[in-house]
Amino acid sequence: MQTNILEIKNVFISFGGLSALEDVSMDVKKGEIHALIGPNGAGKTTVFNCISRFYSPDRGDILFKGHSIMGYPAHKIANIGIGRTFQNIELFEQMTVIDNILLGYHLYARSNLFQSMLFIKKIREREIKIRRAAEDIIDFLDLQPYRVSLVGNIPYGVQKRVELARALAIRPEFILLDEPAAGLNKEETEDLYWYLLDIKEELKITILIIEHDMGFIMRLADNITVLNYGVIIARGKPEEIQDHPEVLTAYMGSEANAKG
Amino acid sequence: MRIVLKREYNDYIKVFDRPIKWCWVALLLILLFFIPFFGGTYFLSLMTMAGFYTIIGLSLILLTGLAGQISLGHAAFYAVGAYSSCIFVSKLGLPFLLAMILSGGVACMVGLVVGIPSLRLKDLYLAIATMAMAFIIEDVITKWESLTGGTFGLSVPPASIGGFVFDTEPKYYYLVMVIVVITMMLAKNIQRSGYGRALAALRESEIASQAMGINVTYYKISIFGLSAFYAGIAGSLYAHYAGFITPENFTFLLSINFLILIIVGGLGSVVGAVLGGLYMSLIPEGVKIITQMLPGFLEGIIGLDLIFYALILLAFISYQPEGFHGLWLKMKFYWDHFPLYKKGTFRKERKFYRKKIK
Repeated sequence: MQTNILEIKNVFISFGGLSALEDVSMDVKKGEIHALIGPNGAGKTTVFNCISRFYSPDRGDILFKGHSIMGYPAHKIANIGIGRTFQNIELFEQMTVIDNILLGYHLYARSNLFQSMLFIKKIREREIKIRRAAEDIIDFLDLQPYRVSLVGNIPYGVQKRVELARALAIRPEFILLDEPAAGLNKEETEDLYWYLLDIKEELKITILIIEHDMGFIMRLADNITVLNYGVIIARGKPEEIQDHPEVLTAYMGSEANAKG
Repeated sequence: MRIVLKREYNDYIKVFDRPIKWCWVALLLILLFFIPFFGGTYFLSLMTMAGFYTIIGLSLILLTGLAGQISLGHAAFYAVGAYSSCIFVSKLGLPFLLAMILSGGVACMVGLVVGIPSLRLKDLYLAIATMAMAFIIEDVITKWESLTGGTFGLSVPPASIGGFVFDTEPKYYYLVMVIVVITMMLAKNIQRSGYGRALAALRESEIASQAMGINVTYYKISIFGLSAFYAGIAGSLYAHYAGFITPENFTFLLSINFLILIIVGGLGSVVGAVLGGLYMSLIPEGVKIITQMLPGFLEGIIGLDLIFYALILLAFISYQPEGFHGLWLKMKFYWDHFPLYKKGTFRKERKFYRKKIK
């Protein structure tokens, strides 16, 4: 029986007078790839930021594995097993690829100031351990050629992959991917498709993904939620969404508009 | 061209990639050990000053170079260290070593308080906040006459450890060098540990750091505390060396000089702090030599040396924003890759540092 890993319940949020999310509720089942789609400005990234606790909803609740996360500060979200990537790549640019991934392991290599000042044996051992783990991720996402290059110097497509690697490094149960295929060419998108399937099947990580590439999403997603102007207009399997009248209206405009 | 093969994970964690570099360090330490035997007293005093500046440089390299926070208030931490050490030794009768560490602790407390605005402010605004703090502390020191002697200053007893008094120039030189080496090793360890990596992440992107589970509040405040601790230690050493301190020694100009120190030395590494420290203590001598060579009518113009400092700083910011340390890396790179070196190799780095300085 599939249980819900994430439940968003009646979330409202507004910035100034603009209400960005209105009564948004959605469930993500454990082990699925769930897509969140919608036209620009629909509030998709706002949903992500609410889950990451960068924003606090005005009303409503978000449950992760049955527990409310509303009381956690943003840096605790990684701790409970939620990783994420960003729409405009937020990598640590002046650091190498491997350092970026090692930072993903921060939770497993936390050391207090005095321990690290003295660089005691425990710290050295821990560093070696996370480096070994980081190499596994590098293998998994085929990043070997870029291991020690500065992130600022590598191609955009690879940067996206590094960001994915970093999100995987926190050993999440659930990851939020904000437009991972944006700006990628056809070949890279195809690679990404297989990586994501691997993540779902091999690593057993649940994925919530925002994406505009419809072909990609229809192939990849198990379930889709459609958001428009902060309101959920449809949810269901990809094939149901494809022919959903309201979704078509949201994306293409209504017939009345077309005539007008 | 030389490629150092890394066979174990430990090779990435080591301080030096090749063992030969330890020999160079040993050689340098031997050289430092023998300086008092052939350098004159005056040169020795310059080296001792370079030691204080190096500790300050380390403090700022951790804060600015690593964590990306700026402080224009380091002279205040330095002053707090100097005064509290003096008060601990002369009024409370504590032994010097304990007083030094405690005064670092007092500076650290001040630093933690100053760290709080860094949670909300960035760049220029943070610089202004720390500057304001520096003025407040300067005022407190001047006005609190019963404790600090106000503008009359305080005389500081010489440092002594277990009955051994560091009263001569060479003795104090050794004391300072030992502490410099210790603080340098600690700073290097911070830089290569997970703690240092988290600080660097903070500098690059706060939002991503949070998503990685890095507690931004904790890291920002603790790095301010640590940086102030270092500055406090340097201040304490300075006070016992100078023998007499007044608020005049710790003006705002000093804070700016400290920033110049790390810009010229190089923001990126621990070595930069040493180079910057040497620069700070030796440059007045260099400028003196230059002014002596100038034609007679320029003699006696007040502030001529300041013009030189400014020119040097400008030259560094526009042509060598990586500082002396970057220059050294470039030279090394040039020889390693001799026929393959091209002009654009360091373009990205230069751009990055220039952005950071601004």
